[in-house]
Amino acid sequence: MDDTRTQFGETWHRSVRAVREQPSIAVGLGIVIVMLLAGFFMPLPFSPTRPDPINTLQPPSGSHWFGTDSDGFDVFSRTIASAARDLPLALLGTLASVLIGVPLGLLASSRSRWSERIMRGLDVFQSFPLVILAITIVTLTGNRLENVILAIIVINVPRFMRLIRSEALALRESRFIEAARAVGAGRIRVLRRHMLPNVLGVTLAQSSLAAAHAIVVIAALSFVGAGVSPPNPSWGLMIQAGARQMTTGDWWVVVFPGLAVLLTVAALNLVADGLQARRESEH
Amino acid sequence: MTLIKLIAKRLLMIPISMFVLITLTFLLLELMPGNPAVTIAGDFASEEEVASIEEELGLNDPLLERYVNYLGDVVTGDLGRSFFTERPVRDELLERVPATIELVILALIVASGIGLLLGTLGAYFRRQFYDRFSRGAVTLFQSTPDFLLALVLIYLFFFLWGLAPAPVGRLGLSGGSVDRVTGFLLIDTLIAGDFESFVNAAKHLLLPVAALGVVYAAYFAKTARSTMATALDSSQVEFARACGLSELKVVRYGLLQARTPILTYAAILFGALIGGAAIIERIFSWQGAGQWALEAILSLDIPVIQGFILAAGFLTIFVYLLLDVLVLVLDPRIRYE
Amino acid sequence: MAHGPLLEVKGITTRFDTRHGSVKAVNAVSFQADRGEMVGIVGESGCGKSATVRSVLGLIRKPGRVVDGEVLLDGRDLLHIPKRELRRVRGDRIGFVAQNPFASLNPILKIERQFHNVITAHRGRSSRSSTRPLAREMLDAVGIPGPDRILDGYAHELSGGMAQRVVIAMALSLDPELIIADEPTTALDVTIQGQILDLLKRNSVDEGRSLVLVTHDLGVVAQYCDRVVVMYAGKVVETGPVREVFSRPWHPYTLGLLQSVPRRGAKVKSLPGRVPSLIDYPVGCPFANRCSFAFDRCREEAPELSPVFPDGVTQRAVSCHADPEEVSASVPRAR
Repeated sequence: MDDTRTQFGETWHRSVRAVREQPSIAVGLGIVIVMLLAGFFMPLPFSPTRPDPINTLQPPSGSHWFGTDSDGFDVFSRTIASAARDLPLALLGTLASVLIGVPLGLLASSRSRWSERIMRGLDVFQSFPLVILAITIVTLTGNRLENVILAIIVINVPRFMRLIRSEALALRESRFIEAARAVGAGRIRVLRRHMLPNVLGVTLAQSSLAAAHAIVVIAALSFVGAGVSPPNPSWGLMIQAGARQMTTGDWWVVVFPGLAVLLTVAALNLVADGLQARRESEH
Repeated sequence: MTLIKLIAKRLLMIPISMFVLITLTFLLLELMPGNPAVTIAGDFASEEEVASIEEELGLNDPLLERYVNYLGDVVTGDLGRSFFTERPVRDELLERVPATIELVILALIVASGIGLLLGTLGAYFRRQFYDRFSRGAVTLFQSTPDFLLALVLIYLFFFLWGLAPAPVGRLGLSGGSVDRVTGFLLIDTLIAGDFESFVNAAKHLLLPVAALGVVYAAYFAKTARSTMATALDSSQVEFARACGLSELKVVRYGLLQARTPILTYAAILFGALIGGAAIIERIFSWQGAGQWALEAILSLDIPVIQGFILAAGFLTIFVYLLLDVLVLVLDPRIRYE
Repeated sequence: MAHGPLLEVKGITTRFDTRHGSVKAVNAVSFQADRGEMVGIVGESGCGKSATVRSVLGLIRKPGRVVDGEVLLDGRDLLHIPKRELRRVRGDRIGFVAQNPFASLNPILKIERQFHNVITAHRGRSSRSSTRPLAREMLDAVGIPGPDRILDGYAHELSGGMAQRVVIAMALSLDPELIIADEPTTALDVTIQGQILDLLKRNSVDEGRSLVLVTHDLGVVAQYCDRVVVMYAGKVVETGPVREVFSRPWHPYTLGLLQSVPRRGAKVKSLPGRVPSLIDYPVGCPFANRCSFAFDRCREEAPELSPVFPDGVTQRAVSCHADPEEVSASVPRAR
């Protein structure tokens, strides 16, 4: 009992110190949280799903801050509303990938010949253009949100598995695992109490990178029309709808959702950078 | 083992990898839920129509039989026909793949060039002002989806400043055509002596290559920076400095040591670029293999999808082989095992 | 030729700024090397010997920095000249030999290429055919048979001893006045160590060059060096002519080192306690917690290195509050 409590306390203190030392982590997380809150709770001036067919392709103005698109949707409202879809999707997908990929990676780090063969098989995976894979999965299984998460899982689980496995293998070689074993700790116990905390650092850094990439994949998916159900807004869908307008000069339809994607992905990359810098300085 | 033996060993791996690839491709699409016959027949087709299409496509045969048939077909070069256009997949592939490769190779060159430069400068000026600034810029471009950048570039360079041609295809609507020799426009136009078309093709390549190249340059720069940073911290570089070599020479020493991981990353980017190129091709109506595959995926044209995956997989395996050989040739240590 | 020592290191202080604090790796280190003199810098691992010589060569990079001191080569302060000129000094006037030859030689370039790069960096551009004879000559000088084959080959094809000879040859190729060797034999087989050291001595002091040899081996210092610099926790605790310092040491740490060398018939004594943290550097003498001669003043006030001329000519210095006569009286006598 006491053990878990002090473990939480220690994790809390280390997190606070991490945020204070690396401002990029705080800034990145802050942006993501603000976007989530805005997406879910911000009152929108116009309906994001009901267009106003009279006011199409209006440039940004006092009433329509981000302008309107060719159907008459208010770009601002739809951009904010998309945050409630795209961002949670990416985060959930990443979380699911971690929950599946990390234990699998730990298991795969046992030195059996099977695990090496499986990893070699997964290596073939690496030569796949991943966005194409995601589009294929979503299209073939149906344009539903759950399948978008499935696609993200399929893309990320091999990556996490490989990363966690190599970390775990390196840790296995290290002395303190030997010591734990020598004291008689069973395999599961060794995995849980000794490997997991050390693997956590790598997992966190990779997770923010994976989440950043997930947003781009989700945007690409909705850009080509996979996984969307109009008129529900999504950044990629908005960009696709406004693509033709870029050749006729109505830039706001694409630029504002594009900036939203850029901001979110950059925020998550910042968090990843900060975590990585912290891990580097610890060595 | 001599160099030739090592290369031969690598070459032998190709058929094995291709075998695995073909199997996986077959399984990937067979195991996916959804009935292609339904998609082809359309939403309003009757049950009999769907059943007859299923029979026609051989979808009712046992799995193993279908697999063996597929394997045999692929090995003899028959990649099937498109569900929708009925054209042989192989012909379409051969026609369209060069357009994609031209785009991908040029984008890779741009990405590697810019990325290596930025990464090396960042590693050299580590922790100083330039580094912070370039890392910010790199993060920014890494966070930009390539299709977004492509659209922004179209707006700026085509609409606003009129510097680039309209994003319609490799030669534009009024570009005419060029006799096809290799399929690479930049080469074919020169072979035909058609300088005007060469310039036209180059102009149309500018924006798509820029969109892909800049975004992937950011990824490359990140890897290059960390690889060069390790190299510049090495004892060999310290010794070179102690011998009084100029800083330029010292950086060259670092580049030599970082050569292998950087080349490896370039090969990895090649595989990623094939995927990224697909969406860009769509935006620019490139008529390349990527765009074609994208449309096939969205319309569940299974033979085309399978054909594209095989082609992309084969290209990537080939590039990795090239990389392996290059690394072997360049690194004197590995030769004398 | 100018008068005075060739190399005068005065008060070098080097810090490394890490997350856990500032590592005081080198603290007000001073020593000198006359022309044709072999100086041995000795001390246990982590005492700052390598950091010191790297500070002398200007090879300290972030997060480290040299915060104080002067390095006078023939009267010119190397720490305060433009980088361009420092580069000209390195290799040309000061040759460097590091511990691991495979960590010095470039694994990808042919040996000849590396010689060529070093030579042309200082002697101006020339073709490889004109630098090759010099390289061959240097390889001969370090006793490598069949130099042509070595020149056309790569570093990984050499054994440890051969590789170190190549490094030494490279360090000598521009005829430097001073050679700095940082533990040149530590990574090599014991059987070759003597050969390499003989080689170094032959090609340096026997030809009028100065050699600064960093080592943790007292025996090596006793056998080869003219002058010794004893370091502890980043400070010079004692320095002087080898014979005198080893027969009549003035610092308790030197005494402890001498006593811990196993000798026939005597018990091996080892020093109690541990080296202090370089981050939480103690006030007072860093050796106080292990010193049998320590008294209150030692824990409060750090002793300074004070040069003394016992016979009016040769310089000795010690950094200690205790009475040197007392310390030297405790030296074990050979049986």
